Amino acid sequence: MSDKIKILVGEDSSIIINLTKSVLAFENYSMKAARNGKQVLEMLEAEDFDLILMDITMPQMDGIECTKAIRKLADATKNNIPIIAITGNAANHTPEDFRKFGFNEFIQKPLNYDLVLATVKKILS
Amino acid sequence: MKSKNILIVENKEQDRKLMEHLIGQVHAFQSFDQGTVALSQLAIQNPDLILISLQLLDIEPILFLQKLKALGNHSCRVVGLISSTEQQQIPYFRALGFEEFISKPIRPKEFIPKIQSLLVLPEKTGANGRENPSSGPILNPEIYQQLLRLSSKEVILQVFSDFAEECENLLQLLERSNAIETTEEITRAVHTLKGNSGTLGLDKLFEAARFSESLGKQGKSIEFAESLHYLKAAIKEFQEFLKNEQSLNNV
Repeated sequence: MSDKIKILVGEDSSIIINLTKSVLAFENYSMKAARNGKQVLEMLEAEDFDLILMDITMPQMDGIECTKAIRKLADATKNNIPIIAITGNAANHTPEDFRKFGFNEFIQKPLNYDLVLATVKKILS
Repeated sequence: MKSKNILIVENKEQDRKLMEHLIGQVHAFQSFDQGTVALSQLAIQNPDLILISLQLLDIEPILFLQKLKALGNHSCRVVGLISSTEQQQIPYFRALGFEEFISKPIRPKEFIPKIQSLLVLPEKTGANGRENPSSGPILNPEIYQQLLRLSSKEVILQVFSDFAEECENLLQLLERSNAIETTEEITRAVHTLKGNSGTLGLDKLFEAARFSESLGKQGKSIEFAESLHYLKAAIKEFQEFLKNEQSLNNV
């Protein structure tokens, strides 16, 4: 059985998915990707993860809706999972907004992967 | 006798009158409230400096530059008169070809020294001296080195290749769509391109996409459609850059 930390990434861009997967693998994290909020919910219900990186802008169900739904799940180990928002439109929301939506932290696009890794480590510690 | 000839294009009367007053004490000038009228004058005259508002009502700054360039006989600098609320768009206007800017409101004490300093700069070789959208690096070397440090070169090359394909898809979407009628769909695609280009360190492409997206979201359909010409130019520049196998090795 693997002891790797498992990260679920909700992101509809395959470019960001591939790059993030590679960067996280370099730090010995395991990563799976979901293309929209609905997939994030399905994968989280089917499998345990340690953290979610959630893009705000996704088709079908966006990151905010998805996070609100996760926080309402009955399973306490699932609904408490740390979630980091990734947003390309940070100007639309204040940090307080992100906390109210249920996110633990938020990161702006364009992604700076040093910052992504530092934020992931901070949240997981 | 006044030594230099300066052409002013400003639709806001108060700003135009102030510039006329200040410049008139030192140099000859011609003043216009419409870019299209100024262009007809430029067809027969060759000023030493052009000052143009970036918020003209009758013509976009980009079109003005294109038409000036088409006239073919101008080597003077074109300076953008930029309001305080547009300051964050300077990278975009630089990408269009503007190299120098004067902030509005005009500050009389700073204005003439700035004009004098622009007049002594060497002449450009074409209309603002540029063929390309801008002369900055296509790829931000710091971000590229960061990606190489945190990933592998094989993955990075593949990601750039995938991104080039995404760019091509956007170009095709633009070719088959009417940007004014399909602003929302194109804005979504531009949003994705913005996030990806910025993450990959493709700064010029990022700035072009950011500005197009901003216009699309504001519902400025005509300006949005116009901005896409420069987004396309930035995409093609990136595609050319990537075609050269040595490009990424030289970063």
